Amino acid sequence: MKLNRGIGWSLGAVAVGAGLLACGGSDDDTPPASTPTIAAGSTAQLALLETTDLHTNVRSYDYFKLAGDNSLGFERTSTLIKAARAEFANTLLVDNGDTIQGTALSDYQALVNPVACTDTLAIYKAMNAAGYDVGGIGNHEFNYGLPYLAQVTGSKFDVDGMPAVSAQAKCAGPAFPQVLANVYSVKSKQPLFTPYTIVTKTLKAKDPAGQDISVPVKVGFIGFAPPTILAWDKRWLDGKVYTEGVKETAEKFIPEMKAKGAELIVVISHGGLDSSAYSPTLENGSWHLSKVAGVDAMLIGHSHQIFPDAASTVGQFNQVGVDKAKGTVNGVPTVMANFWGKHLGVIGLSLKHDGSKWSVDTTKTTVQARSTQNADKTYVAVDAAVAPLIEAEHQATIAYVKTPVGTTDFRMTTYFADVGEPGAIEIVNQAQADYVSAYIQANLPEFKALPVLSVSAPFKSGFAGGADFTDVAAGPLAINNAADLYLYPNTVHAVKVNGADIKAWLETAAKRFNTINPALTTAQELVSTYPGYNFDMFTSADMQYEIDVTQPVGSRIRNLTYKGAPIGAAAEFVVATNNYRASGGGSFPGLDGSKTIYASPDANRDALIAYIKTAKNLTRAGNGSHRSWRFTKVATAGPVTFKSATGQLALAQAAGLSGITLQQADDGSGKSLSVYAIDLAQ
Amino acid sequence: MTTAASDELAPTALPADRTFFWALVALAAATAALAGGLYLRNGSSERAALAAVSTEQLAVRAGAGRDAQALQQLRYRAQGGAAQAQQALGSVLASTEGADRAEAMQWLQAAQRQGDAQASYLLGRLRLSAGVLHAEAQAASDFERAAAAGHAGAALQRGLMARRAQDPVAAARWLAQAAQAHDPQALFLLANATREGNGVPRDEARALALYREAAALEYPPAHQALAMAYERGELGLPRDSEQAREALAEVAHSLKHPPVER
Repeated sequence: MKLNRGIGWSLGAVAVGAGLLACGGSDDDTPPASTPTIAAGSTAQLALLETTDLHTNVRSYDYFKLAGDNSLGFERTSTLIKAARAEFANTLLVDNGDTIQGTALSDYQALVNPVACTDTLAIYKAMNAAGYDVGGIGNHEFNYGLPYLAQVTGSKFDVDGMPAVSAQAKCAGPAFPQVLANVYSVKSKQPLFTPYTIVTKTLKAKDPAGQDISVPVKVGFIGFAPPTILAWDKRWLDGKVYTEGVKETAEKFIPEMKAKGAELIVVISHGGLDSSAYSPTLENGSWHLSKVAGVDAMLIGHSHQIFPDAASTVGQFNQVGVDKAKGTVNGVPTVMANFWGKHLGVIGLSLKHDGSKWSVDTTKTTVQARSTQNADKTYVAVDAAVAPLIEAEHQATIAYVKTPVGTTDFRMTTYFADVGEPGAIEIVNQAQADYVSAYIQANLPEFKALPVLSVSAPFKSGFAGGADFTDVAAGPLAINNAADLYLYPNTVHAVKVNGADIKAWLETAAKRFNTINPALTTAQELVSTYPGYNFDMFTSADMQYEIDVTQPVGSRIRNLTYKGAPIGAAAEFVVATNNYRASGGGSFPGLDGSKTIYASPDANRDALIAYIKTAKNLTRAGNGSHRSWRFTKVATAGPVTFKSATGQLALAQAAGLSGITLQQADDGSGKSLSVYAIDLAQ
Repeated sequence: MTTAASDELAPTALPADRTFFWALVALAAATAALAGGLYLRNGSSERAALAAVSTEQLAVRAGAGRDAQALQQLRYRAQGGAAQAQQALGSVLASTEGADRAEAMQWLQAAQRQGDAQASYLLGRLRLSAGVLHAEAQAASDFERAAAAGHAGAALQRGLMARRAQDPVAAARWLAQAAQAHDPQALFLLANATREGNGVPRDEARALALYREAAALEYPPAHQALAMAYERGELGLPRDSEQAREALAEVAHSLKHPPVER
């Protein structure tokens, strides 16, 4: 039977539901009607199998590339699980959490075409079929909010902002119990999920005479999430849930679990190892959990790392008490199985019975993180049973990624972005400015009066050759085109800056150019080695400036005006950009995180998709022709050249750029690049 | 999102086999009510239970948990003179909407007088955000007090102030102090400075090590800096588009849980 979890535990607290709690195991774990006597000296092997941070990667597939990716995916982990089940007489399969979020598939099921109450989430379908025994809850489980989490886990949450528990539907969820002990409802002061479960596992064991016997063991599982969820998902959790420290929580519940008959205690901790002074708000609490009395094994996660790994240079595995070769933390066997199904954690326990209970012969414990990658760099075969389970969801996600969200009447490219063509950049700036303006108007009245500007850069500008440019064809624009137009998985940030900051920002971006000597009669290369992704530019009629490439770095920006008037050093603006730049990425003067007035959790790419959906039909005139900057006019004695993809001159002309000519059809690099020239006097 | 999803959770009828279950719920409720009554008559035992809760956990309950009893307990401890409780109470009040900001400052100052580094740090942050007269100098002194006691966040903030004051050498010194204590933002900014030779000698290998440490602490811009370096073969790294792709995936992942400022 399956109980509503929150209420089920409340009953446990008044000692009525204690017996009910232990019924969380899967089918093969049904306890015998009466507990048989187990002879002292009986032995058994029991392996704990861990997956962690699967992030909805069921298939070995990259939804943004729309191509297979053999390095990830549960369909390959499943092969490792089957091998481990063949190897060990008894196994318990456990997921650590960060399970329901992280791919286009998860966004599709949560946001685009929300999974119905009666349907099981794709990742849980795969896990149900694999016969998981227990699951933990990670921080990413909270990314889509509490009502969604309640729905897809088949839970009911007694929290503010949700209907009364009695009015909540019991939706389809995983077929295995999920445990989380340290996240509490503000409203009820009770744990949001069942804090722990005790699985009664029927063991294939040996009696002291070596005869096969079938006898039960009771394994208690308790789950923890990082207390820092309160900051990360504040928009969903503020005023609704709070956390308790992992150590105090373990110290409270583990004796209770033992009193209810748990012979082994397994901690499922979605957190890494941090041996610094304990605090109840510590993000990575697993090191301190290992010190709590009674813990037999830890299945940890969150850090996307491999443990054990004798060669690991990761800081958290090189702390006091951590044996990265053996896989123990303060003596407690511990495994972390990387992420995205790349590894399977395996803790092999040798159990012996003393006539009253099972215990672990710790001298025989083995700990491994097994990779889906073979020694020859190939990957284990997929378990062919997995893909059909979620084929409909997989195909629907692919269709979603290919769905047109709008159209464009012009080819959006960065081939000539270095010489002023804004065709693939303006739409990003428009989307960012629109997003930030709307947020400020609704939420930040103190900045309402400030102009909102936006910068972006040509992320792909030919570094790797002629194919390394943004190039989106005219016609329908799909979700995956947004990834072409916005390469990085950044989030929108808004910074408050003054006129001096903007000038310094643009001076830094103008490092993109070499200093040109007008008197030289030989050809001079215009574009320096400074990366194109740092060539931030405005693309609006309001903002105008010149870049004088005859001047040294730091003295190139001229005639900087906003709405026709020179920008004073003290004039204040809001500039929409991304988290990388706002945090100091690229070392732009004055940008170090301290000017950020809004750090949005939303991706620039998603803001772009939303903007295109609203604008519907993009036009060159409206969305791809507004230049904020030009080169300061100068006559040069020799040609000023730059490289771009071969055969694209017509695009420069279509975009209205004058003075661009083809110098050399093949630049000799063998990378499909041509040498073009720009007449700086035009 | 919250609203939309709530709308979908339409009430459904209880299956018949739930009758027994709801009887249990009623019993539980009755038991809870009884327990509540006992509590009212025996508040001292409840207070004794709260007395066993750590001050840090009380602050979580009083803040995120909106727990009035926890707040009251925090007040008792603060009034009793415990520096950590004074700091925690000031911190909770400072972040509680509608709470008395002046009172928050008073408690933090009381804790600071007892040498509490976190209180000094929070005071500095509050002074800077309030933008009052002479706030800069006072905040700098607050941060310096906290940093001297080993507070990484305070060293970072003092470093950011030095950056704003166009003193890259002092900035790098403060950032190095914070980086030494594994502050991810400081590690990243120090990596930038070391890469550029801004206030410290230019050293790409050192910059790479600092980016890596910040990335190991899941600081998203550090993953991105590494992705770009792999893509272009910078910082002494070989060009490796596979590593670049992995690092970019880590940007997407870590952005959902960037390091939390203290």
